[in-house]
Amino acid sequence: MAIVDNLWLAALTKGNDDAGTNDRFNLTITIDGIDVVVRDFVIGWRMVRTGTTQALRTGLRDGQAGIETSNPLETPFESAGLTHSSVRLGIRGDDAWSPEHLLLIGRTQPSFEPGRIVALAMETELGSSLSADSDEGHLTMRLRLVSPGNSATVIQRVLLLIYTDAGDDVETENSIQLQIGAGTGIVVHQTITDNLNPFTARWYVLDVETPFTRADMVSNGSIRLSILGTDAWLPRTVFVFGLDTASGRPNDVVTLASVPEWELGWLSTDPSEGSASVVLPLNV
Amino acid sequence: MPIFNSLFLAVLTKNEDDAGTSNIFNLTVNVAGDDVLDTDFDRDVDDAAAEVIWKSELPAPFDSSGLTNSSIRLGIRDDDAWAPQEVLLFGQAEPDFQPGRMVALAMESDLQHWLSTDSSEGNLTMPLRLVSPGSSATVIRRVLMLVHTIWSSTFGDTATDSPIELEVRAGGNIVLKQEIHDTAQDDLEKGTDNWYMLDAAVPFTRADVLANGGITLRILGSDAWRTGPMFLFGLDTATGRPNEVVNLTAQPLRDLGWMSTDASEGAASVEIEVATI
Repeated sequence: MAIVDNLWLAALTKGNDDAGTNDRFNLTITIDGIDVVVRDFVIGWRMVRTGTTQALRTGLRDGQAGIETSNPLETPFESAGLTHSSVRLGIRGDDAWSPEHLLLIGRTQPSFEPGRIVALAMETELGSSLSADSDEGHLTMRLRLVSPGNSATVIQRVLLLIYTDAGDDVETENSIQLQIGAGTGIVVHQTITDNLNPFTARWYVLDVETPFTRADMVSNGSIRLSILGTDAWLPRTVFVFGLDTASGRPNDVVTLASVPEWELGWLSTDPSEGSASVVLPLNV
Repeated sequence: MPIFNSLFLAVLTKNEDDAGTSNIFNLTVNVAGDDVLDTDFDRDVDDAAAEVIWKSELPAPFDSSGLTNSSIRLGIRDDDAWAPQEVLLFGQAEPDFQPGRMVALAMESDLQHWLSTDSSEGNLTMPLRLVSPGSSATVIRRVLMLVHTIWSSTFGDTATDSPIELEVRAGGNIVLKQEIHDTAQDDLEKGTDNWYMLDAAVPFTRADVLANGGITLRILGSDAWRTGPMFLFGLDTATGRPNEVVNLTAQPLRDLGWMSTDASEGAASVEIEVATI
C-alpha cells in the first residue's frame, strides 16, 4: 500500500435553492481509532461586490463546485489502514450545505516523482445535508472508500475536475474540449461550454462513446484538452478520472491524468497567446 | 453479537475554567461505511461535572459485531467549546437482553482535545475507541462508579453532604473499600450525576465477587440521600484507558431508596446485586 502525503477535497453542491454554504468543512481520517488527519477545508470561494469593490469570500454557492488541497500533510499516513468508516466530512456552522458529489483525492509516496494521484473516497448523488443545526442536517457524513482500480478497469464515465485560480485575465468564456483516444479510436469527445471564472472549480461527468481501459490509452492513446476560442485561459489544476460505473457511485476510480499545479502554459487558439490544445500527461 | 437498542453516554468534563458546554452532542456509529446511528444527546454539562445521558430508544437498533475502532465519533453542534476528561459509551443489548445487563462499547480517558464548531477552539468531532466488555475472568484493577442522585419534587431534599463508601469483597477478602466525599464535582447533589474512579487495593475478578464476596454501598452520615441508577464497571488497567470494561451490577437502574445512618430516615447500607454475565 502507500503513504499519502497530500490531499485534495473536491465537491459539487446541489443546484437547488439555498444548497450552498459559507461555513467551513472539517475532514477527519481515522485509522484504528486514531485521527491521522483532522483538517478544515474551505473548498469554495466567491467574489462579493460591495459598491465598486470586490472581495473574496469563502463559501460554496448553489450548484457550485470546489476543490482545495490540504497542502502537504505534516504527518503522512498509510492508506492500507483505511476502512469505509475512516473518512468523515463535517461542517463547522449552521449554514446548511447540500452536497451532490464528494471526492477525496490523495497523493501517494514513494512513487512521488512526479506524484501519483489516487482517488481515496467518494460519494455521489447524496440525499442529506450537513449542518451544525440538528434541525437542518447531519453534523458529519461518511465518505466511503473507492478503489484506484488498475489498468484493466473498464471505464464507463470520465470525471473532469478543473480549478481556475486567481491571476491576470486567467479566466475564459470560451468553450473547452476534452478528447480521449484509446486503442484504435476516440472514446471521449466532449465540448464543454461554461464560464471558467477565477477562484472557481468545475466538476464535469462525461459519458464515454466506448468503454475503455487505461491500458488501452497507454498502448495507443492520449488525453487532449483544447480551447475553442481566443479568450486565453490558464487553469491551475486539472484532474481526469475514469469511473467504472455508468451511473451512480463508482467502485473503482482510475486516475487518467493529474495536473495539480498546471505548468503546461496558456490555452488559446491565438498562437500569440498560447496553445490551442495540450496533451495531458497520462497516469501510468 | 449484541444488538443495541439503547445507549448511555457518560461524560466527565475537565476541571478547568469554561470547560463545560450547553451545546448538543452528536454521536455517529458507522459500520462498514453505513451510518447505523446518527443521534444527538442534549444536556448541559458544567465544569468538572459528570453526566449520564440515556437514549432509551434508538432510532434503529444496531449490531455491534461490525464495529471497529474507527466506527464511533462524538461531536458537538455549536461553538460553546467543551473539554471532556473521560467519555464512556455503554448500552443495553439484545438478544441476550436482560433489564440490567449493561455492555460497555467505547471509552476514552485523559482526553486532551476540546470540541467546538469553532476551529480556533477545538475539534469538531473525536473518535471513541472500542472497549471489550470483558468477562467474569477479567482482572479488575479499578472500579468506575456512576451514580445519580434523584431529582424529585416528591422526595424533597435528596442530596447529601455525608460521605458515602463503596466496598467490594472478592474471594473472601475486601479488595476495595473507598470513601467518597469532597471531589471537584458537585458531589451527590439533587439531580446530579457523579463519576467516581475507585482503585482496588487488590485486583479481583467478577467471578471472585460472585463466588465469595459482594458489593456494598454505604452512607457514613445522617444527611439522608436518595440515589437512583448506579452503574459499576470494572476496568482492567490501573491507569489510563482500559481495554476491558466489565459490568458489575445486575440492576443498575434500580431505585436504591433512602440511605442514612439515621435508621428512621433510611438504610445505612445497600447490597448491590452483582451481574452474572
